[in-house]
Amino acid sequence: MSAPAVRARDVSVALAGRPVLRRVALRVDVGELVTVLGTNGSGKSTLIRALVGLLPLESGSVEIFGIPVGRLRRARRRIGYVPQRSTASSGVPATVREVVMTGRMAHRRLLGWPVKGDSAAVAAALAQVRLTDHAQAPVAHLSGGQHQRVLIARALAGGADLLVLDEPTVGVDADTQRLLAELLARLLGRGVTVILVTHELGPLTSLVDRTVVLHDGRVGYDGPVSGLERPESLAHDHAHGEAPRAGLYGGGIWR
Amino acid sequence: MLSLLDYDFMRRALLAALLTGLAAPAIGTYLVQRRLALLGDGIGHIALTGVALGLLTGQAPLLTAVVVAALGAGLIEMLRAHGRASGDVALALLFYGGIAAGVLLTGLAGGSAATLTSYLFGAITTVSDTDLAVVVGLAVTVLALALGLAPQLFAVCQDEEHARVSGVPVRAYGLLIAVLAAVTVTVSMRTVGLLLVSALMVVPVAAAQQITHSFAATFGLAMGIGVVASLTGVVASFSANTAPGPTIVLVALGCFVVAAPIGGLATRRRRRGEPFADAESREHDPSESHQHAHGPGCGHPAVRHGDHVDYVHGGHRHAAHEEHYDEH
Repeated sequence: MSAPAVRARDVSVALAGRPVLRRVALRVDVGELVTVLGTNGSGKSTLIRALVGLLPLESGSVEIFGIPVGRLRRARRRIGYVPQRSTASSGVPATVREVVMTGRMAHRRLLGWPVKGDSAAVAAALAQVRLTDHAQAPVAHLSGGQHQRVLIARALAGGADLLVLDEPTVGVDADTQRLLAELLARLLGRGVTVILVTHELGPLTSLVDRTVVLHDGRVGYDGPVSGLERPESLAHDHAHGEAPRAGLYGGGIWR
Repeated sequence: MLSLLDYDFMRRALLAALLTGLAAPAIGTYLVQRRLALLGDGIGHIALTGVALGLLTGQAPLLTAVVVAALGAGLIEMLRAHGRASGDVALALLFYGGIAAGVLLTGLAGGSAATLTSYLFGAITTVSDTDLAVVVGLAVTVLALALGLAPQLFAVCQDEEHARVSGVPVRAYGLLIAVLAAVTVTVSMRTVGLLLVSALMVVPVAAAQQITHSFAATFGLAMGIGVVASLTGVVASFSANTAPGPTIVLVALGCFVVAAPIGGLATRRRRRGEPFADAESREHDPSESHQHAHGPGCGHPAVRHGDHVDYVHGGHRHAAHEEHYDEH
């Protein structure tokens, strides 16, 4: 039996001395789509960042395809990472193509310029997020949804078989959300494993194999979406004790 | 122009200016991309201590300046990478320490105000043959690395975290950029001077990015502007018998003043070309499955947005619209 795509055991992480993750265990099998839900501050992003090796572990271990995360080396190309970010631009103008090309870094040695294979992979990634027409456009001119698509294309360009997305749906338009759902469905069909942090499942709901809910740095739930008591409220970033008061303020005066 | 080249010192000064004009904006592009535009300024201050150490010990100031500036830049980068320089305070300590020690040590070495001025604002007549050999060697090294490692340095400066996940040795490249910046500062010492060198790193990049759309074009155009500014500055300095640094920087700023409206015009034309490209998707963007009713005292910060109120909610803004909420 092959190793799971991700196996995190007993993972504790502290940020600035404050414990954020407490003995979290997570297993994601090859080809699964697992979403990580939780309120702000529950440790969702911290978990994702620990999984891809961006944060030091206080205790526990993370293995990606059976390899400890600190010793991935060339296996790093198997991870496609979409950080939680609202923009793909930096201090200097860059085209969509230039940014997506950095997704090929794991395929390059210490030195080296892009080769033909890199260009083809970038073109394919741009086609998948429907940004081919914008390849030469500066990223600064893009809308919020298009920025997110650039970051996703960058993750796809490396040809990863584990895709880790941190809040890819925050502040993006409905079109991009649908596009993301279609894209993930295609990738899952190809056997790609997906881990996705979100607080709005939206059109993704039907694709989700399993949901992990973090609560105060611990796994509070690990199972199918249907098993969540109130998926909407949990998925929606804040759990309100009271019944919704739709209509009271929703109708007119604040418009 | 022919008469200019008859002078040995002018030939040396022009070659030094040409290389400075290429190297400073090349490394400056990465600094601006990393949003560290003022790093060169700080390194310039630190390099002054290096110059003074050279004067005091009888070593070539150019060499002691390279060593001290590179050490200082490495220290700044390490403070930054470890998150210790969260405030700009740690950097400020280095800057002020550098310039204070530099002025003090120059005084102890018996250097005059004129000596200091020549290092702070450049002095073309002072470029010796030995200086020139060092300048050429260092500048060519900086250019070769800035160009040869462009894909790697671009990736690190574009998104440090993503580069790290891709297995790029981010720390090593960050340190390399800082040290290259330090070397460039020292190389530029004789033409632009230590106090204004940062301007030659940053202003050509700022001017170029007014009209460019890609990193590659920004990089190339910034180097072009750098060369024009440096050569003009040195020639003007010869005719008017002034320090070259201020002229170089003013020419570069002139390029910015010309480029800014051109860029603004192009942006306006682009917007007119596709008037509703953005508006369409943003105009009406209903939020999915919203069960919570926003209102005064609901706990979400309220923001006035034109004729209505938005509620900030998980990093985005919700506005009430009939029975649902729109994303604003």
